[in-house]
Amino acid sequence: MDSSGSSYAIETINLTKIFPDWWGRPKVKAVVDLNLKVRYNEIYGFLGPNGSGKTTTIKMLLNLLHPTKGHAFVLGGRSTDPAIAARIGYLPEESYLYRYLTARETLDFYGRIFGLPAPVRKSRIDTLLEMVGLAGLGSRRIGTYSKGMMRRIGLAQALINDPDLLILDEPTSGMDPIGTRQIKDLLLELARRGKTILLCSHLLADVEDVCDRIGIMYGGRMQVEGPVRELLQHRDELQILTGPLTPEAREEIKSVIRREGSWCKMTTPVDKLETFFVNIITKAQASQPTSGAKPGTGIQGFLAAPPASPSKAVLEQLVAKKPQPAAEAGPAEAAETEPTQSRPAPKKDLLEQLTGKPAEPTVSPTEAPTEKPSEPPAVPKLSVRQDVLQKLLGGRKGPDGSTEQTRRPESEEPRNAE
Amino acid sequence: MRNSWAIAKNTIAQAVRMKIAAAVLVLLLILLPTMAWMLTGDGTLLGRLQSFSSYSISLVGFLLSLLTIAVSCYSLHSDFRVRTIDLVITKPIARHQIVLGKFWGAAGLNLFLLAGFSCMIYGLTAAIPRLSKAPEDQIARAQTEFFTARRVVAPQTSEEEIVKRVEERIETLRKNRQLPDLSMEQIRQTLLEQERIAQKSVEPAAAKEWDFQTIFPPKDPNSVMFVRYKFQAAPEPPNQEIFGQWRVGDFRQFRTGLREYKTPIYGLERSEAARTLHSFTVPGNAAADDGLVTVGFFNSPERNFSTVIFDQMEVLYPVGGFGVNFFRVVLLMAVRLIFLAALGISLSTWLSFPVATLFSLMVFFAGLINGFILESIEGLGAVLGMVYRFTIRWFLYAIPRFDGPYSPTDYLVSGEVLSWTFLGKAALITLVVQMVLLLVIGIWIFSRREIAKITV
Repeated sequence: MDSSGSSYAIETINLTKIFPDWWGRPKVKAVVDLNLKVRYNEIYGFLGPNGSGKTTTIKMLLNLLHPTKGHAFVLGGRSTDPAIAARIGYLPEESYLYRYLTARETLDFYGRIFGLPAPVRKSRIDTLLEMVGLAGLGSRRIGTYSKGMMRRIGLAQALINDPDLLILDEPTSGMDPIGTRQIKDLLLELARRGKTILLCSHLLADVEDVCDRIGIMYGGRMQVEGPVRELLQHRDELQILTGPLTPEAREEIKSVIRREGSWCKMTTPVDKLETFFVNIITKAQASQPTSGAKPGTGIQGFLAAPPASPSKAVLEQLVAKKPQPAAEAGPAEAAETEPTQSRPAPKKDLLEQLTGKPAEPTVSPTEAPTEKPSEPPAVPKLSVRQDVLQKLLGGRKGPDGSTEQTRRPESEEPRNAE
Repeated sequence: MRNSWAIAKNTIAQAVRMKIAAAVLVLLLILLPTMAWMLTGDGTLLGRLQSFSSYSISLVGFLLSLLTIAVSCYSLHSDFRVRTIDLVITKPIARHQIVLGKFWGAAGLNLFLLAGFSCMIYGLTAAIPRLSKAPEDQIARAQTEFFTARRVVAPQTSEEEIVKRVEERIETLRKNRQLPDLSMEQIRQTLLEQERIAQKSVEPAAAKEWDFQTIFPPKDPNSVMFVRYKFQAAPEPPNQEIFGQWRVGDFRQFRTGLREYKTPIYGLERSEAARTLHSFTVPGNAAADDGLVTVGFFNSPERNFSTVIFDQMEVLYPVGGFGVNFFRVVLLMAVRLIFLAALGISLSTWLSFPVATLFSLMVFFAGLINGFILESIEGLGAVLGMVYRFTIRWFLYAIPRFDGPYSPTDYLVSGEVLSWTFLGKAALITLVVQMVLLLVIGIWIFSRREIAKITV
């Protein structure tokens, strides 16, 4: 609960937006009686096809549009309140940035509006530029940037104030897979540090990877809402992942399952294309320079520490699994039995850098040898640059140097939406 | 304040990248030195100085006014067009701070440019006498008529006396049953006009005196004062010239029959063309200790057969130096630029860039001839006058005047002092009343409008 007393980071009550025609007659009902509730400290996926009312809702939350009816509360108040606005980071669906400013000037401009002192601004700008992979390009005018690079700067400006609430509209739009992976990783880290994130995206795989809960809009109305796992879980199926087995052992397993009166399907797991792509580029980066954004100096730089488990795939290292009963396994794709991904637990170094807090000493489930599903080809492990995140976000350390826990323990899942 | 300053800085960063800003900058950097070199006026040093100051101040004022309008109208419009406003508005910044920041940015940049180019004009003006190698007498004349600040004093006119005479004439006409078939208001207005013209007229073989109060030239034996006048002649003389005998001094001395005058009374004879501004110099000691100076004109019947009607008659005497006066003139120009910045920003909160620019230009050009329009339209007939009173008159009164006494050029060209009082009054009306009103309207609209582009 926030200090304001509100239980929700975002709350709308019968929020409605009707766009009139020239004569003032109702023409389009963009949002109708929306009762959206986003809890503190969760990543909420706000989904829906084009024209479903997602962006209109966000614009009403941020007072860019006036509701026709209903109310929108953010962090327990109105976003018009400067004290509330100072705790919000917003990345619009397109990078609405001043093209004549350099990246550094852009961040400085927004830092000034947030009232950050000059030394803090400079420090955060350096950190953020490094984090988004544009450290060497900070003096280049934004007008010369590619769309993906603009998204990176857009994200950096959204983080300049160390916001409690991040509202991201298509944050990975136009970004390459590595950038996308970095953004997702950053979101997870931020969420683990107690930030609330409203994520609006068409890339369902991204949402699935990072969100605690999702809501799907259509025609201006909320169609369905709930925890991702609960909505996607096949409750009447079970997935077991093993190492190599002999044909005899497989037959034996099948026979056991048949005796139980159930069915069984055995396939070999395959990587996601994203994982494969990241592997290829990671190898290429080691031998070839680039004039564009440099992931190696940004989040990927934070994540590029020597792998704790060299045999694990990059993606799997980033989105670590936690041990859980097989019955709680996540969604299995139709034709493959991929390892189930639980709530990811990315490396903590990055956030440490930004927040100034040492990451809590949690044990990654992936490090338990008994839980390793397979041993993919060795790739550099992406580790989080905690020192950078720590610098950016500031930290609250206990007297013994321990970090204040702001994120709900992973075992505690958010309550379902009512 | 902090937020507005960030917006202002960003507005300046945007403005200096505008092509019109570069064009204005380059144009002025080239034209000002060229004008200082090329403009020669009537060939004298004074003419050259007057030509340069007139054209350079006018050019700088005009181009910076256009730049101010362009920057102020474009800045907010650009933020809406590329939607950067969507991002800015979500930050902890009040909407009025955005409007004020844009205003400060647009005004600040142009004031900075004004300061820079004013320094350039001042430097070039000061350099012209040295570079022109003019003879001593021309340099001396330039010193007394250009590199000075002269107070202009108009003659005392007794409006009460005029009104009294008109009432007497009306009474006479009434007694004689000669009142024309017009309303009393029209009769009174006509007679007033006649009486005022009569007050300015000098028939052949007649003389006229004008009393000037509060004239205190410096107590310097070399100080001078100036009598400046303009007249027309009816009928037109064959050679277009009027011969006149002038006396300047404290006439009370010979009126009271003093044998020895305490202050000298100077006399001179001049033959001059009608409808042209003329002036002559008299020593400063012609003024009485109490500040009274009387100027007398005798329309000599031996040389003239026309009635001379004086449209303008004034005495000027030095009260200060060129530098401070130049500074005040620049401040008057600054008032104009600040108003235009507020106008552009206010309009762009609810109008598109082309419409806001056109409207601002209309206000600017109307301001340049505002006084002329107001004087012209006052003489309209009953029906047109009624239409005018309820429509355009309000608009003309609402916009500031940039002409007449509000034109900065005239002060420098004629070496007239621009008083702090007048400057303060102009700033009070233009900035405190008109500019604040515009900004309040702009902020009110901007605070209530939906910022985001409506997409469904």
